[in-house]
Amino acid sequence: METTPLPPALAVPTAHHPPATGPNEHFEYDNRIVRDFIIASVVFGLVGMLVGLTIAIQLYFPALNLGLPYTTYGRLRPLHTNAVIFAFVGNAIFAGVYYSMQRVLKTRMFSDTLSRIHFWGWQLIILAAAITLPLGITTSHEYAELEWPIDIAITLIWVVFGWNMMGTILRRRVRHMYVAVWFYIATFVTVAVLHIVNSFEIPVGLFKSYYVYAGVQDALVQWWYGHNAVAFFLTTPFLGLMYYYLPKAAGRPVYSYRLSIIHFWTLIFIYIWAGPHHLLWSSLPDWAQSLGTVFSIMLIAPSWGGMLNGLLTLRGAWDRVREDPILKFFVVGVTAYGMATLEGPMLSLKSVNAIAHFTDWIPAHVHTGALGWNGFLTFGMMYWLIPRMYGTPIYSKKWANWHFWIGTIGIAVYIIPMYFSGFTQGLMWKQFDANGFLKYPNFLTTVDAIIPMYILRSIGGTLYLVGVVLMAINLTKTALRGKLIANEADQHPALASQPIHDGKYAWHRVWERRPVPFMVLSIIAILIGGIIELVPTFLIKNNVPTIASVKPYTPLELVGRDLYIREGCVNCHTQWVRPFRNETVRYAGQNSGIPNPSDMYSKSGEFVYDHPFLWGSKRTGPDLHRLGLKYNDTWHFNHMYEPGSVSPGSIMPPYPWLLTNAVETHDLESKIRVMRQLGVPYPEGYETKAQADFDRQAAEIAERINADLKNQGTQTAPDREIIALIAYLQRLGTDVWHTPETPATPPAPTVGGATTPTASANR
Amino acid sequence: MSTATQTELRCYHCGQPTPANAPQADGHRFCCEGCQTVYRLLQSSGLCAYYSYETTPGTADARTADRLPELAYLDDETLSRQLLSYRSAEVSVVELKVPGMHCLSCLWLLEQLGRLHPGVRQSEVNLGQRTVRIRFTKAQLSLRGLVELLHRIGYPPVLEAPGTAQGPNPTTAQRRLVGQIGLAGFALGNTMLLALPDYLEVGAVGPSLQLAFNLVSFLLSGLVLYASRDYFRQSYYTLRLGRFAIEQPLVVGIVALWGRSVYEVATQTGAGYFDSLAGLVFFLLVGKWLQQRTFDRLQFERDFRSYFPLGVTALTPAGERTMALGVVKPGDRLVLRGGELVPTDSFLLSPEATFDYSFLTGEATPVLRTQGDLLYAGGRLLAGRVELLAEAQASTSRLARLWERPTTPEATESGYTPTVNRLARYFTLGVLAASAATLAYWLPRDPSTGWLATTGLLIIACPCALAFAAPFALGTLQARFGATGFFLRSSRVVEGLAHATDLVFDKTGTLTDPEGASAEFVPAHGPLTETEAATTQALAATSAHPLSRAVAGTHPLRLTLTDLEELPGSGLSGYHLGVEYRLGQRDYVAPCTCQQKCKAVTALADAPAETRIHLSIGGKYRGYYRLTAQYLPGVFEALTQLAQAGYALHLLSGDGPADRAKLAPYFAADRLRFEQRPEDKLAYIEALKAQGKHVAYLGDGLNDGAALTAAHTGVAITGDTALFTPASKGILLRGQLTQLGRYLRLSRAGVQAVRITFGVSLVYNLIGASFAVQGLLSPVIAAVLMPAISIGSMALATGLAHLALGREPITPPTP
Amino acid sequence: MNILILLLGTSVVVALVFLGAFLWANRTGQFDDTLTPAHRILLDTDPTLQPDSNQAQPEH
Repeated sequence: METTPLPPALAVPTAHHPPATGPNEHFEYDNRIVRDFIIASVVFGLVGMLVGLTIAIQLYFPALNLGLPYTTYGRLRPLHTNAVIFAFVGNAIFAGVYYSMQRVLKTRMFSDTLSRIHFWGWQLIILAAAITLPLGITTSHEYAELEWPIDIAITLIWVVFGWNMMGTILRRRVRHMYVAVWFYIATFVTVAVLHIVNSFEIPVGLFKSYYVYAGVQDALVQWWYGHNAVAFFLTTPFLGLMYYYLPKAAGRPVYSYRLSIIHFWTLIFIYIWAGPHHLLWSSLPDWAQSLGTVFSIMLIAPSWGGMLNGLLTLRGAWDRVREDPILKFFVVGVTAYGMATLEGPMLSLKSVNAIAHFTDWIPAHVHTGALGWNGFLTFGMMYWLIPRMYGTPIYSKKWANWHFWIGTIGIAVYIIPMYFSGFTQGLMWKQFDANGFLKYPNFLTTVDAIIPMYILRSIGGTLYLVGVVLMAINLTKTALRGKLIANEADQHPALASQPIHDGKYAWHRVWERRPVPFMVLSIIAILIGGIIELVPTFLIKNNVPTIASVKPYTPLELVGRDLYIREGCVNCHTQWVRPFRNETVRYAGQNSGIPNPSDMYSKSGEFVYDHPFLWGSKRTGPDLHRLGLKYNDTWHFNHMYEPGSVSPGSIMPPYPWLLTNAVETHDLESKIRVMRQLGVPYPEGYETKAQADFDRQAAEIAERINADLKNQGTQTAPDREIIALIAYLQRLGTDVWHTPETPATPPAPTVGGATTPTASANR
Repeated sequence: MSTATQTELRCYHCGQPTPANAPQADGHRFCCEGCQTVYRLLQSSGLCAYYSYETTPGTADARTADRLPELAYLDDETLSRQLLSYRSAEVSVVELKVPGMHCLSCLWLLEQLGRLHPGVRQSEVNLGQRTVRIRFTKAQLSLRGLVELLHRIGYPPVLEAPGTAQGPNPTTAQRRLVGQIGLAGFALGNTMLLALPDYLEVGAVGPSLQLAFNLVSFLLSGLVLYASRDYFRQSYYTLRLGRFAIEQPLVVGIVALWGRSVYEVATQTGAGYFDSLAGLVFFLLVGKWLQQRTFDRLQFERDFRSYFPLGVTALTPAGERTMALGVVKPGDRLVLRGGELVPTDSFLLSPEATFDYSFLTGEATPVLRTQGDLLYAGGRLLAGRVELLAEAQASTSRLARLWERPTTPEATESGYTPTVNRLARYFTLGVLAASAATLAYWLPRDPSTGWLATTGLLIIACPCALAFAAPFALGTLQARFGATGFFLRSSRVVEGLAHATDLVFDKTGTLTDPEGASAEFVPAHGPLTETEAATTQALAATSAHPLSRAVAGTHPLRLTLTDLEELPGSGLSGYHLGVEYRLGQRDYVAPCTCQQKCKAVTALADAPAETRIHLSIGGKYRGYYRLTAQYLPGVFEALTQLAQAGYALHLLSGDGPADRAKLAPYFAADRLRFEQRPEDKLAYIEALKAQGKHVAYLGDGLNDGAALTAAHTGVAITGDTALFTPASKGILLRGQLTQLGRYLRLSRAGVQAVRITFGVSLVYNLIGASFAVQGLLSPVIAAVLMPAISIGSMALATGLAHLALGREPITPPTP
Repeated sequence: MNILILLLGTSVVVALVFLGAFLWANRTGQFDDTLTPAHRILLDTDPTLQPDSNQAQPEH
């Protein structure tokens, strides 16, 4: 059943007779909304990638932040990820969904108003992100950095999207829901749930909140979300798009429609479980980790089923792939999907993970999917859509081909060096010399080694970006040449309710025509379920194994910790020493007077007061969990002022403003109060004494520093941000060994004295 | 530029080559009026996009689009009611088979019917089954009008008498199974998830969480049992019939697994085997699903009524009116037109007429019937218009009675093949014995361990390997067979083929090619000139008589003949350039001038050994055409090989013994029978079965219907799967008959594969049993062993089947 | 680690929702025809309704 390669809409004998339409209903597809989303996607795509390029360069040229706080790596990196995921890819998804859904269901979107609200609402959210993130307003949860007011906005807009989608499905004129629609539905439902569960925060102020979960539990929620965000925001919607645009562009039906249906349902039922594989070797219980691994491995089957289904669709059309840039983009995109979905499960094998985790291997893995799968599928889709919606051929097919090649080379130049640098790092970190000492005790040696790779990567990124610029011009010129067919007319008979063949299925038919109540009910069910499950988590006492000597942070440390969050230190520094000798020795072993360093890996009990957890996921800099008391206060003071001065060759940017900014304490009371709500044992009414403790500890630290600074002729006031930050850094990971006498003793009523780490350590 | 001219000279609608004086429209050429008519219709309705999705999407059926068949009977209320799948006061829904649809354009056009006639509210195509489901308003459009519309756009539907397709509705069964798989799969995923922690690190999750997990698993096991209900049902039915089926031990295994698990969870002695249970059921169902490969377009369950007109024209005091065949009763006067079938046994009221019974008996030569003769249902009136007096109801005609055979409904049958069930029986007996022994050993020593050991044994010794082997081994073969033009109703048929000892063939249309009958001229006085030959062919071409068709050959010239006349039972005549040509029986073409008396020469008595058509030109006898049946190429080699392979070959032909000599070398004398009526064939088959032979019958046509259903394995031969075939276990493309040997060998290999798989899986079972009898079977062991058995046997069975296919490559049919 | 109850619980509920959707789809015959829908989406917007601006030649 071969089909003609010509897209019929573009090659049709004109009929001179007025069309007889019989019982057909006439309606128009809304192309404007699609066009708008495409514009937004391209614009934000350019911005997001530009930001990405900037921070990529900052890795070997830190001064690129021009000494501004707003442009430091720590603050821009979340901007980059949010921009490309939610702005570039997000808008592309909506464009693709709005176009394809109207057509496969033979109806206009449910409501133009909702469409517009969805569009503008989403863009405002992106704008809000673009403003807040550089200002350091962040929750520090990866891909969920936006603060609670924006979280709420996202929820509302997402509901609008779902409402619009379900309404459209209800109004459909085709009984069968094409598999793509199922992928869209899954995207909506699951992302809604993930977002809600990962946004349980208690506000401290308008721009500050604390997550209700702490430490290892917070980590689990975050990565359950983090993984499924990838699964249901970057994968399922794009599979839906693939199943529509690939056949359309190829002019032939998908290789096996049956397989596509199986693909969907298996994916849906397996994906949700794979989250924990992001926390291998963490203090998450082993069985939970292994669970993540097992289900990740199982994911290979459906993923590859989907990839093959996509590629085989082109069987017999490879000659056309050679000359059609759109198909080229699709082929590479789908292949990238296959690579990424094979690599993912591999990375979730504990042994592989031990080497790969925290290294540049992960950015390589991520960008295979992002640049290849999401990017190229989006580009192919746009090259296909714009000419159709403007009723004119593409401005320059040659440029499109150029874009393809530049982009492809860009991807290669990006990921290959990243893999190389990943291996290099992973191995250098682990190496011991003959005498059993670390071969590269100085972390910076492992950084210097990969600087060239960073340079190459930024070149790859540049190429990719150039390609996108080319596309932007090409599409603009195409649009200018044609005229937007804002409303595309079509006709189709109304969907008649199915007659009953055998009374048996009568009651199912009730549901058949009512997807909206169906979905509404299901969402209610989800929420109820969620609440039911929530209740115990707050009633039952947290059963994470506690360590007696672990105490809540002092007010100063707490504020310092919030600065650590504001500056996005977590983007480059982990706080998660894994149970490997090389890590305990490297990050914990160099402190004087630690009993039994090999036991100094991170324990879940140490994080019970961490709202949120700050484990991080990437070691551009060294792990900081055992940083406390490693250096003296003054070292930190100098290091933050000019990293190079104390650690030559450091690629960390200077943070001079920390020395000048006065620290904010107006919300200190509410912070303490909220923390107590969350189960941190500050005594009742402590918030009133908090400020005093704050000042006392600040004064002590300032005193110590000033003593050292005398000979340098400078001094620091105790009310500077740097003081708070130092307080926090010096506290990091010390609870398990420090003795009650140390100044950093928390004010909280000391229950039981310090215990020996070995005795108390337990996972 | 040859390609350009090529395309120009092809029909814009159907792509056929166009004649010099091709009809044209809008600068497009058409091969015939029909195609042009369709084009005009679509073009005037603004439906020309039809030609943009595919080039020349039209079907050959369009050639007749300008000539509508007699569809008056569709106006009959009772009949149309039967045909509709749904009807309300204003709208009706009908599902029509449209073999013509084949491409994207067809899909598009058939779903745009509403634009051709406002009466059509909605039309939905199913390409797989080649059906279109149409919803139309009675007020604006009648069923007849709808069918005519489809004819006019070149997509004539095939109308079947309602209820002729028996058996359970495949889609309903499919849905049921898919739903079960969904449930089991869901349960499996979650139960595994919940069971895993305990395997990885016993007691890892802590008692409270573990309890919660167990309870959830328990709830999920409810889904599993529900999903496995068909196994319970089937084992119950088979049990009630006093037969053994593998479902029974499977159910025992399931129950043992579940009971044991519930016990462990209830007593908090363990996490139970819920994951193994879910896995077992899930894999069983998936196996069933893969096995349930249905060939959408084929109908294995068709009964004789499919072959008859849906309506007949009755002669009532009020005049002619069409009535549904079903309501015809003895004493009704019926009208029959040329080309129509005798609907039921009836007497001929008209003086005389020629009927072609090849359809019924396989005998190619038409017979002359005169007033008062009893006509059996199934004969086709060659030409003219005759009146009949119905002698019986259609349902009680001699033909109908032939077809009445007891059939056991699917639900009460085991879902597996006899071999499997036989092996399973021994297996189960062994298991029961072992369990009894175990129990006997333990009870006096340690009752609790005894129960553990026994249940453990029942769990681990569940014969799932068997349950997997057959579907996968035979299913693989069935799929490959289907891909090469041998369609089996179910993979169980493969086993039927494997056991076949006797192969019984029909001749006409089975060993011979019905289109291939060739006529060779035997001159009486010197050969024919080219013109004479051509003219004769042209004359023959004007008749519907099969013998004339043979004479006309494939491409008769279009010569203009005048004063055409056809005399039923005698022959036909016509004038070309003033010269009379006569074709037909000896005494008709030229009054006998010779001395021998040749009176009462009828077509049949003409020459028993061969069929002759005589020719006279200008009153001068010129000789006769000898008709010889064309055997399929390579069919005799195939027969020889089959004989060597040890099969007993039989031939039952409805024809005269003309070809006895030709066939004698391949069939033993007593197994080579001619002039066999359907009931003779039936009796013959029954006789063979009585001797304990395992019979496979291969035949086409209605006359084989009874035999096909009677034989252990009935295989209907057809040239085109779109055509009707009598009820059978399998449908074989005629061209593939020569590869029957391969198919049979493969079937045997398939059954062998099942046996081997079973043997291998026994090893697993023994390992498991060794643990079980000591009461040491732990959930982990079960969770490892049982999937190992399942997946292992699936892989092995499939692998062996593919191995066999590799050894016996079947060449697919040439399209 | 009672957070796991939350996550497992939520996941199971989501999964249940999809299971419901699956059964609904299967029962209402969404999976009956696994051939035609794949072809149907290839059919484009009704050409006779499009303005001539849409009659341009395809770019590939």
